[in-house]
Amino acid sequence: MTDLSRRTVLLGSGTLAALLTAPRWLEAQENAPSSIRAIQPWEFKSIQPAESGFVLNRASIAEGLTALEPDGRVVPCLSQSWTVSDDAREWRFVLRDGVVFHDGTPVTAEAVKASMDALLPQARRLSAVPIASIAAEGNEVIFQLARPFGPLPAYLCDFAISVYAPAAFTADGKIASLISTGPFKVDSVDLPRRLTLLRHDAYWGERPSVERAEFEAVANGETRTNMALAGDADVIMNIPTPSVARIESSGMMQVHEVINPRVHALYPDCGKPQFSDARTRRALSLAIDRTAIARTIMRNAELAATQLFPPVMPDWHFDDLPRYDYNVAAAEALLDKAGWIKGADGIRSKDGVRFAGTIHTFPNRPEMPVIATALQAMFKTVGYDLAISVGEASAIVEAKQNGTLDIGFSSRHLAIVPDGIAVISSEFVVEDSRNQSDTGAMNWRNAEFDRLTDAYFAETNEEIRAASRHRLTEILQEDLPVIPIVWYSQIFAVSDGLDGFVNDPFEQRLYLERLRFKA
Amino acid sequence: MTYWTTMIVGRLAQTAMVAWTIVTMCFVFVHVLPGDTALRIAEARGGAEFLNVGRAEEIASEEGLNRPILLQYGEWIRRLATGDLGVSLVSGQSVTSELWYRGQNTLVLGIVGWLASHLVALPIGICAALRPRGWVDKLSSFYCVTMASLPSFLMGIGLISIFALSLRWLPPAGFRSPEHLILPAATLALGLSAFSIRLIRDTVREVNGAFFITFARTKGLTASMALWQNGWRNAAIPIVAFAALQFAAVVDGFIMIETLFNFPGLGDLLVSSMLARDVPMVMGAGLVAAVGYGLVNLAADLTSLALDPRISQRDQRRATFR
Repeated sequence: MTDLSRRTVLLGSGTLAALLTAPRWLEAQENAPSSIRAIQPWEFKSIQPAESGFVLNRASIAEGLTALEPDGRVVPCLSQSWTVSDDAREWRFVLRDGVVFHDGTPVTAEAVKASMDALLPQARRLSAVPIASIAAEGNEVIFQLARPFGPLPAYLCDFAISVYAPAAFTADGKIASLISTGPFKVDSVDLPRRLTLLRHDAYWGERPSVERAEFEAVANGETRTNMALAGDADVIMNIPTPSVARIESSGMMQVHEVINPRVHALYPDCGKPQFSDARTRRALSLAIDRTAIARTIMRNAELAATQLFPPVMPDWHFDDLPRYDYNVAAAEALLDKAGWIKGADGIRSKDGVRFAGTIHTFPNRPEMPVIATALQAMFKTVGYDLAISVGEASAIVEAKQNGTLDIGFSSRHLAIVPDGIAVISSEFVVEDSRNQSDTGAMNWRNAEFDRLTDAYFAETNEEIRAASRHRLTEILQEDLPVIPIVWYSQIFAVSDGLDGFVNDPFEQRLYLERLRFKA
Repeated sequence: MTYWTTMIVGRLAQTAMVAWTIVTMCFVFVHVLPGDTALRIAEARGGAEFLNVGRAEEIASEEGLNRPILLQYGEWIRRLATGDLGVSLVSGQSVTSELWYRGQNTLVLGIVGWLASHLVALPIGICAALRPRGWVDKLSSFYCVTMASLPSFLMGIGLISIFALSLRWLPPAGFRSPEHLILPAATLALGLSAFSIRLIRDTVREVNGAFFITFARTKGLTASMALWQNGWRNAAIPIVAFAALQFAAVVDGFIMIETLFNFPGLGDLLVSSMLARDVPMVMGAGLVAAVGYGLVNLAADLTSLALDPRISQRDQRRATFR
């Protein structure tokens, strides 16, 4: 080999390697002015609806028979209306005319039924619905239920049960390609970071004004802030609270904030001697200065929880419920009355049991370990010795399973099914067959609560239902099987050049189809 | 067999052994981490919000996580022998296609960063060597100490602050266009160049003082001509060896840089897969990193041989005397 050929080989190999390995996105991209770039914090782990979270609905790809409006109303979506039999066991959903899937095939009752049949086994929340059979008849999809079930339309908003075309499924009922009916169809999927979308020109509703959209996952909050400061996207979700002032002063994007149906709450093990008496749970609640936590850690005093459900769920939020007070003296008095006596180290004990335990939380929401530290200091003032363990969220479930969990500190979306009864039944009715949660209240039973929950599902009289809702939330407020700390707000950064942004407090949709660039 | 063939076969066998060791260690580490693997996978699939023991049990049963560990390991090795790396326990996507996609990104970032670092390091290092204690040497020394002591995430944040947030010349994160490659590659390049400059400077200086350069000068060549005609090949050998060693440091650097710039590469994949206990993906990523490292070192050895045939003669003599 000569010197020249060696060099040629070396240089040639390098160039060839570079050319062969150039990823697709490096090819020059046309930055069409009619393309919207939206950023969210959650990665797209899978294209299976049950595991993809809200993303396929948020990106305006998938739709269900019903949908949730930003004001909390459940409205028809692929169905144009529904009727229910007197015994609330037969539900008929009449399909809209002229709706087509992204592949151009018509949305028929048979296609909807086939989609439901394939997706229902994975849709865990839907297992609460006593579906006996689903039938297609003309342009109607008919649900026959084994027993009356009033909140069915709300359960059908679940992202796991959106409607997909027959061509979207493999033979074993898995989704192979995302062919649904939404205003945008999928152009390409780069799991777990990017979805590229094209306008669905044959969409049945308001036609999107932009032709293309990109949906990108950026997990790091500081990176999302940088993108907002650089104006590198059109809509950015979950802006960290400490970054809001910087983004507002940069003038690149507008900030929109709305309180979500989400709560950060303590889940004490009510079976343990420290928490089996409701007075100790009330005492700990009285020792929490929620306003200080909301103001200093969440940077929004309005996020201090006054009850489990925030005002954005008006059917389940009651202004006449007694608020959670901050009153250390009352807390101490309650603990004294319950027989927990302070020792020389300032920590209480009763019958040889120390008033102490560990709180398990996780750092996915960065404020949670900080709040846990604040709680540690607050609880110490009333004589509870709190240790903190920060790990994966699954560690809470694991500790609960093996009986080592004292207090779990979790964040919970209360409106994945936009009717609070779904959370009530899955989180608090511990031995209910509808309970699909392993993260709810621990070892807490209340016979009246269980009875009211059961009756609620079957009840169609709205007056009786409203009274039940009030009583259910009242019991939670009195008995505190879960101790709410703060609610949560969704903060968006939106480009100044965009019109039509809708701030959906339920986080279910971004309404990309309503966005348009200002002239 | 020729010396070259023997050497290549030997190194490939060594690479295979290293890869097997790394993959086995990945498998062991994932399984000795505390916590339930199926629960972690359920969390990674559906998020903390939808975590459910029932789902975790289904996953354990579907994916065979309840089988004995050795059986799972044997199954993976058996599949690997047929070229099948399996599917991700989280996304259900093929591990090979995911590694290919991520590997492309990392390789492009690595090549651009590495080339950029040498575009900076070669001229500065040679200039500093030609005028020891001159102003280029002193400035480059200051630059090297500063860059070497600066953690790469700080460097990345600094570059983002200046070029993305203040000047708004470049995007701060993402992977949509060639411009998105500039800041992560620059972060990588600045860190790498700090070490390369000093090595190049010292190597060139040593070669410059060698007898054969002095001899060339006595023949009437200028200093730069003597170095160009007689010195570069001698100086290149340690530089090539060092560049290969830098590859290991680059793999570490990728993890931070890819996270900071939201860049979907192998480092980012390795961390997220490890957290999610996605065993096939962790083992696949470990395999790619180990094989990549072995191949880069093989390429460096071959380059050194091409530059200096005396290496093979020396090795052959040693083998004869043994």
